[in-house]
Amino acid sequence: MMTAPSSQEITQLLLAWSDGDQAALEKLTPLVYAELRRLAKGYMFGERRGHTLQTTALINEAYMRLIDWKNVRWQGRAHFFGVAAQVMRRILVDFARARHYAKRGGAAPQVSLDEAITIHEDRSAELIALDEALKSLAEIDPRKSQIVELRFFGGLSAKETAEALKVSLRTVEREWNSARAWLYRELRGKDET
Amino acid sequence: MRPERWRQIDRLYQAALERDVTRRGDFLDEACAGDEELRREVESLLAAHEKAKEAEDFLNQPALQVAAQAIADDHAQSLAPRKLGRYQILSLLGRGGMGEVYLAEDPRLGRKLALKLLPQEFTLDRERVQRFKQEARAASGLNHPNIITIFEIDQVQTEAGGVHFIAAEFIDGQTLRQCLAGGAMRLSEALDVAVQVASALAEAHAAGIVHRDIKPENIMLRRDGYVKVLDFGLAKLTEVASGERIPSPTPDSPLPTPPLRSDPGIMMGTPRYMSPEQIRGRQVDARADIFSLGVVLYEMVAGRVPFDGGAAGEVIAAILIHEPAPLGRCAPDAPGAIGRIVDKALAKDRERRYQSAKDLLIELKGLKLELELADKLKQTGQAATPIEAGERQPMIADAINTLLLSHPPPAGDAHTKLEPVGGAMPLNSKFYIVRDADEEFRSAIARQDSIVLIKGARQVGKTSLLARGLQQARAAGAKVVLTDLQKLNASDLVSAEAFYLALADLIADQLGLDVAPDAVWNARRGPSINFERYIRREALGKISTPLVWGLDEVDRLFTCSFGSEVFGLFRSWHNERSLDPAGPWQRLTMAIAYATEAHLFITDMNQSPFNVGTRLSLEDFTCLQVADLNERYGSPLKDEAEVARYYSLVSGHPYLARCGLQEMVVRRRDLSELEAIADREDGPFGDHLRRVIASLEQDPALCEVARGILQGQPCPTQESFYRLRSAGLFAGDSARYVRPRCQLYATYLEKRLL
Repeated sequence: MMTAPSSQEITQLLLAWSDGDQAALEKLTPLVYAELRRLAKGYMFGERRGHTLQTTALINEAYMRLIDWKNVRWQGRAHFFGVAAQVMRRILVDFARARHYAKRGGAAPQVSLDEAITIHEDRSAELIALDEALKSLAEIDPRKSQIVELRFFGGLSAKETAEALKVSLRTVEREWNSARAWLYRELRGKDET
Repeated sequence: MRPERWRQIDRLYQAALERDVTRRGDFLDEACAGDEELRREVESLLAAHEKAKEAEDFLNQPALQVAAQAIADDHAQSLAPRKLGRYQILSLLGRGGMGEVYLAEDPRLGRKLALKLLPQEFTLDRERVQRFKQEARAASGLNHPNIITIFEIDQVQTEAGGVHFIAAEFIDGQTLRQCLAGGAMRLSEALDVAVQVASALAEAHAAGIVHRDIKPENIMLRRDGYVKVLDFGLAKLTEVASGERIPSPTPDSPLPTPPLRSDPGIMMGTPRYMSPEQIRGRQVDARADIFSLGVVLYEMVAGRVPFDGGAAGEVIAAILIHEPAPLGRCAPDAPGAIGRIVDKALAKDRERRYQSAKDLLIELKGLKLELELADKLKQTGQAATPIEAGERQPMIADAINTLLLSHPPPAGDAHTKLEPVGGAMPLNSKFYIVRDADEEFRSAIARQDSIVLIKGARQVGKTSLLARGLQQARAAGAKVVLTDLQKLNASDLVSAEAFYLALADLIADQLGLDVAPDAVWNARRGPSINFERYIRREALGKISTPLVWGLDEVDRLFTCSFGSEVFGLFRSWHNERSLDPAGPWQRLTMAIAYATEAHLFITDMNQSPFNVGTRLSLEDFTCLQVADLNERYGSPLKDEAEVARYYSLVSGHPYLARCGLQEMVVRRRDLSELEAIADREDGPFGDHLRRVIASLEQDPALCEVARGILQGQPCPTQESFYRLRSAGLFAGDSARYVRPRCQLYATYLEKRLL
């Protein structure tokens, strides 16, 4: 078994990917999956279950292991965060697609909105739909789309997002509110009048 | 959409968001200046904003967490082919802070049920599990239509260790949380849910059980309109009793215990529905549930919770210190009465809240009735009187007559206006079928008869009839009181003294009498005399109009030792009235409703409660009435032949007839599909059928008689025939010619008894 890569190595891989090195993504994917599995254990039947506060801490920890912002030079931070969030988005949406296909026996993806709000909602389906909706949002309002990418996929707090984008916290909060409402309407609002 | 247009929408949306909810309309009027499309866009975004904020699973957790949960779901799904104890697990229904819930099947009974597996974190401490079990067992003894039925609480060994689970009724529907994702509910719906939850709480509190965690996630709305409260007793698991040591972090979870946890008596989870005393970690009683229900009611009407904030700390501060925004501001159309009910339920000092769920229930029911009536009057073109809680405006007699006589409007889109089947039907229900007894009751009230008896088997429509008679009396200018004996506590039924006092209290409260019963109660006089004096002097003596007193569920008295004493007193009033035509009893009409099912348990048939008064028998529907009902449901039965087939299945059983039609409409089933599942315990009639068998099985000898009848034998005795018929299980003219009441009973009883 190979030893776990240091956070510095992950940082290097992220930057390599942003320079066009596709192989870097393949090396990053298993690292993200490992974190996912570690987190999933916390939710599983028979395992010790974390409650809300603990879960939040675990998630933060996982993000920290994947995206080591402390070791990135200040000038590169905004760029770096953007790259990290994009990579996370790629890997997580691919993961959701793979899982979704597998469940449907390889059939074409059908992102039913009804399904996304039934009792046991399919979280993968919603991740995929969200990715699509985010692309539409980027066409009319790139910054809002980026804020969602940084916060939702990149795991940044509102404050960190503001720092990364060099805008005020207030702006991030306002734009986040508006992007979230827009996305909600796209994804879940269709059948509600 | 073009980016410029979007920027315009976004700017207005941001600006509207900064304004108070009540001023947004005016703002948009001005800002959109007639551009209707622009306005619609902004409004739909504002609506989506509210919903997105509430939806905990929408962008409120980072993607990594969502994906991790997806893996955990897969894992849980992979349990599917597995067994837990004797239960076959079918699928994962949901997951919450208190464990996973699976749909499972009990192969022994062939019925579907919900299995809740409790997280090990909460079950490691044996003492705590014991406390939980005690509470949950007590709760499982509650038999109430609005409380989820618990079948079993047990523990099994799996490879992952011991797992505690609860096997409960499977509820086909959605949680109130899911329902609220669509924003505020219609006022009538919100009231309906609140009434049913309050009713469940009243029952639980009477048994000494406090829920402790009332919130939208624990309230389920079944498709047929029933509301079910879940997880009674579960809060005991997460609660850390005062003085108990907080478990220290374990090696596999090295994270520090969050600070919230270290306060004794505090539960984990969202604090938004918690009462101030729960947050402070004080002893909790029934009034904590009343506070939480107040929060839920506020949220249903306003579309947002009363105490909110970004972080848990802000919510806690709001609950402890701040007054919520007045309900009228968030929901301008809501009548003032609902705001006052919510305010009282949300009082920070529990001494100032409703002191019992029963009190809250009565106010909610009263308001619901008033609103329905006002609504109906509006529909029939009459001016509605303004609604104020507490003061019941006497309505104009003509209007009430219109209400009671008029045929309901044709069904139209029946599906959207369904009502729960079972319990009293709203006064304006379009599904109410007028029978002969209605006319007889009207005449009896008009004649001011002294005693009117409404009797019939269970679920035949007694309470609905009673409500209509009382409404008619009130409209004609009489004072009206209604005492539902089902609402009395067990402690009110231990002695005649306690019973009369409880009854007098209810009457004093409803009539607004100045003199409290205990003020004039004299121990030397004996309870009957005290009660009689009170009614004569304080009730009849202080009002000049006729008084119509409805007593519902009087069969509760049949099993009390002092029952015959009470009936004796009522009879004596009836007799005195004929002796003294100018006396006070002249103005009293008692309308007494009771279920003849009680005859199953009264073995001395000579002990009939009443041999005086006007008797009304509620009969089953005729085939024509079933055809009428079918039309009101939008004709799920397609032609006369289907009506006839359906009639042979349920005969004219009023509850079954409605229940089946509703099932066909809600699930879009045709008649053949309904017939195929009719006698199954997980079918639409399952609850009803289970109660039938349960009541029969209480008397093994009678069970044996029923077995004989099903095999074609006559009833061995006149008495057993009479009892089975009174209970509404069998029909026929004599012990020789006796048959099950309907085909459905026949097939079900054969399945269970033969």
